[in-house]
Amino acid sequence: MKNDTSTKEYIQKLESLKLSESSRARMQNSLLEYARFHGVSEGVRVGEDARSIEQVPVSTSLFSLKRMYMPFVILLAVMVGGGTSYAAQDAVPGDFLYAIKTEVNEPVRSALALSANAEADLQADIIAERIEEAETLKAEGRLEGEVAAQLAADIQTHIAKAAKANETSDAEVRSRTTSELDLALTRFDVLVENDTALAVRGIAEDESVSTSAALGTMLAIDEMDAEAFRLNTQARVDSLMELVEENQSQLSAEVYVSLSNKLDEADTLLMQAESQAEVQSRNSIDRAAVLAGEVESKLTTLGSVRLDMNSGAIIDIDFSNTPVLDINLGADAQVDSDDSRKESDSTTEAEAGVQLDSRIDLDLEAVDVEIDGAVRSGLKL
Amino acid sequence: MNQKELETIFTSSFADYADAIFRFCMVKVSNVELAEDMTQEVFSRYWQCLRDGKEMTNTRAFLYTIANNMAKDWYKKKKSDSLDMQMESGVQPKDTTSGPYRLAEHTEVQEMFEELEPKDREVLLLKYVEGLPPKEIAQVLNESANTISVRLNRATKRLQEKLHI
Repeated sequence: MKNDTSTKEYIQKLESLKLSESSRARMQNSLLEYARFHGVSEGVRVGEDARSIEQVPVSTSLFSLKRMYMPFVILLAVMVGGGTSYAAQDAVPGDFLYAIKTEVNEPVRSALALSANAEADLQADIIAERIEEAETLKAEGRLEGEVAAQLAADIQTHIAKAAKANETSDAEVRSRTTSELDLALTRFDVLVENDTALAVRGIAEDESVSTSAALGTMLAIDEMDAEAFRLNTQARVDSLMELVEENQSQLSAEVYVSLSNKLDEADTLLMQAESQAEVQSRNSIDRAAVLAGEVESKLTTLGSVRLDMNSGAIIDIDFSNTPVLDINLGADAQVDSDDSRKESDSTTEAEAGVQLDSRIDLDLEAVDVEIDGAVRSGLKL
Repeated sequence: MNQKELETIFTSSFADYADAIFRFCMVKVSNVELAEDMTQEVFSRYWQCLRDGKEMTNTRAFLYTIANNMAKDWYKKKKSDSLDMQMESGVQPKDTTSGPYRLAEHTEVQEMFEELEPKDREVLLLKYVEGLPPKEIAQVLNESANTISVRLNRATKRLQEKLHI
């Protein structure tokens, strides 16, 4: 036994066999570097459900999920049959077929709406549908208590879905669905306010959030202050009007009429907006801004244009030159083109117009390409 | 767990076990540079497992297991190398914290140790230097606990014979 102890002591001297300080430090550094390079942030989940990088599907979102339950959807559709499903379309809460409408028809439509754009549109439709139901019920005097509460909750669910889809949808779809939802919600508010039972209102107050306020926050994604937006757009339209008047001689009669018509319409819309209620006013301003955008994009195809960097508005146009975009900060967007002046169909430029639409960050490249394309195509009006 | 927390765990494991793993590798390959490389590789693999969220109940045993597997791979590759070459390249690491007497003693032990069979060396190291129980040694070396006990017993005897204790 004594032998064993001394052997043990003997071997234990090996403990002084160690990494040298320098090797140790070097090793620790390179290991930490390695650890950071192959870090957790690469999308690897840590925990019980950890999977390696390869196993995490690139598009976990909508698409694959919807593919997954597509067979169920088809099965359901077959089981339920087209007739029932069609008949259910007009059902209101309390009807026998209403469950089929909300539990079958709508999920099927949602499953078929593969893109975020389609989904956002669909959700807006569904909300409008709910509100129509509420109106029908109201007319029949059945909008009360549980049914009303159910409808309100349902609307909120769909609002959340729409907001989610709108996170990834196109700007155009977003603004359209947002204004649709705004409108729908106002209708719902009116409906509920006039209702003596006030069921929905009660619920909304319980949660200390009115339905429309909740919607407003959810949908106010990148909206400017309405008043600022109106003034901004008004200034844009005014300067465009001036510009068009000044250069009337340079424009063909046809183009002049079309441009000034658009500007007149925009001006009228803006004037109306001043006296309108919030939602309609917002819509009018949106319309006006789109019209101004169309005019601007048309102008960029007619001559070399100078833009104001802060507002993105056109401040000057020179028809003697070929279309060149001149941003008022010295940043030239040169466009290679032939010497002759070209005109092109303004409708093809609508998108560029939206780009210009009072945005501060002007996407030079997009405009450049847009104009370039227009010049090449050399379309005549 | 996020990157920061994992890094903390990783760094503390490195501080605790780097030397032990290095010794184990030294016993296996008898070459300082190679043992250092292996130690580093062991810890990079340890990081991968940590990051992938693998459950590890016993970090120390886990590290030894990786080191042991790597040593096996190394043996397969290096079989052709002569023993002389290995001895030649086996530069002794300098432990600057110990005095010359201690260093000489250590060198003697190590030389003696080198003369033992590799299988004896690893069990002796794990048992007496690192203090692993036979059960854990068995787990690391992928043997039964009984085999390890027997091997340990015989190795101790052989060493004692050499030392004439």
